[in-house]
Amino acid sequence: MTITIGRVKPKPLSSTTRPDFDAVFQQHWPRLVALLFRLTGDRDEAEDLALEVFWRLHRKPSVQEGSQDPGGWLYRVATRLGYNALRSRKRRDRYEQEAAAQAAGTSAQPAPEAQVEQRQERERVRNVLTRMRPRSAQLLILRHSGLSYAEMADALSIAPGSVGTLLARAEKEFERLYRSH
Amino acid sequence: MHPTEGQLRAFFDGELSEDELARMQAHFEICPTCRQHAESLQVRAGQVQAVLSALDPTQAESAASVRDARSHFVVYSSTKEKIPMFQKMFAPRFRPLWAILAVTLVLTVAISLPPVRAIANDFLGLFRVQQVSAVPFDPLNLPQNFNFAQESITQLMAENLKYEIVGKAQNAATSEEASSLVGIPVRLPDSSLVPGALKLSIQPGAKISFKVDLERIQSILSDAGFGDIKFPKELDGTTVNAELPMIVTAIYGDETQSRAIAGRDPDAEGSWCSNCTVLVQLASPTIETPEGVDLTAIGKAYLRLTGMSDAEADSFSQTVDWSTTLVIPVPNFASRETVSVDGVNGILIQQSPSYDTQYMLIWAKDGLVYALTGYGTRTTALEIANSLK
Repeated sequence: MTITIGRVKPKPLSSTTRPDFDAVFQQHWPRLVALLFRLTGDRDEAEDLALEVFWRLHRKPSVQEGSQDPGGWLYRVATRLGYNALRSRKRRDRYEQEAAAQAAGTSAQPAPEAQVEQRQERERVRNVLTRMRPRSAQLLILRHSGLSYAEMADALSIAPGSVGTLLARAEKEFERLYRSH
Repeated sequence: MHPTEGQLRAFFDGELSEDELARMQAHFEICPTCRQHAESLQVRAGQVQAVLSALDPTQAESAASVRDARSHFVVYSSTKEKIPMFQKMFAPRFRPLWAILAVTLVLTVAISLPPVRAIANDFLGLFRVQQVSAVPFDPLNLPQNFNFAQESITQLMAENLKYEIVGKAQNAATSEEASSLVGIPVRLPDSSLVPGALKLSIQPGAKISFKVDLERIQSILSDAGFGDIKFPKELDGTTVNAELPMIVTAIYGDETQSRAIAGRDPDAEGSWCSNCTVLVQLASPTIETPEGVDLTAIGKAYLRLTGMSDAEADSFSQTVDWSTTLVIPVPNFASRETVSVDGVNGILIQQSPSYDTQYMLIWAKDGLVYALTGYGTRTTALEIANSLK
């Protein structure tokens, strides 16, 4: 059999350049990464998770047809992945402590006080979030990331009319746990 | 009727309809209890938001530009879609081995392209890596038919490329043993800087010869969207020889342990040894090129293949000594800088310059090429590299 190179029809264009996907990516990337950063506290991890979210969107047939605004779906998946990351942070903390101990051993310069304070405060806030009911924690983070009530309702699969009630309840819960921490 | 707590809460977020808003304002006029309740909700909401803002990314922590992220996504999805070359180059499992692959890639490209003459034994020029340089490439600029071209190239290689494996894969107990097996002075970092047990291994090298079939190469380039890159006719039918020496790899850390990354499956392929420090060293790869070869023109073609425009490639190729420089394509979402390392200039590549992240440091010295990868900061990388003995 003779194989004729260069006479085979090229495969169709990769779908990674689909215009509607590009538009969605442009529109949602910054906010999605910021949301995931708040949950994970690690830029690389936030970006990796955001890439994973868009990858899953990319494979979703309904979005490929450009049938509906995928915002709700994006934030639903991102919130789930980010929240799981937040919950499993104990494991990561161990590594961070090891790394910090190592850094303390090898570098003579201590971290500036402001950075230490910021890290402790973040630690405290994330700790409170993990102790809240998952939906309440997710609601607070989504609100803080600038989502509208309609978007939050879509992302968390709740009725738009109950967002205010649930949000007020979540804030009460957060305040109580934060104070008692 | 009094508004619900949810409606009072929504009031402050501007999430009420016009009707609801008017009714609420009218109700506040007659009901101080609701007004006070609303105010206390607002105060609490403000406090919670203020506390949560501690989690906001700072300037230094904010995300890469959307454009860089979009490029990154091309690679990410290509890896997932298992496009062979991207998969090899960027899958996390292979990241520590970028160096080897970069060398192989350069060789592959260089072998495919040099304008050589039919006089096989009249080789005068010799490419030998004496320094390294980095060139950014934007995965978005790569041709969409890349995958297709990759298959054609593999086919071309299978038919026109002959190689002979030199040495065999084996482990070494000490750097002395590795040195005598490979024939280069193997150096290792100060063990106090690299945690974990050391595993020294040797990968075989190869002698490669490639017969240039210009028509097929041009046809592949054309199908891949590089139809405007042309090579001189006299290349056709010539043979190029290259040598990739044996490679010594020193791995520090537990290969079976990967750095736990939340939200990621620790058992997934790609988590291999992601917290290891890996040092690769080898004698400089060489490519024999015949008399009168315009290396700058080949360099320019190589740069075009990374997605550079004709004008950019033209001016960049003038700045490089192509007979001695290994030019490594670095995707544009990674940071790259020239650093002073081990007494020479090297290239430091990081996913992000300001964070603890995976780094790769590549340099060439005394006829050897070194590549160090690990997880840490710029300082970590340089300290380890400068401690080699």
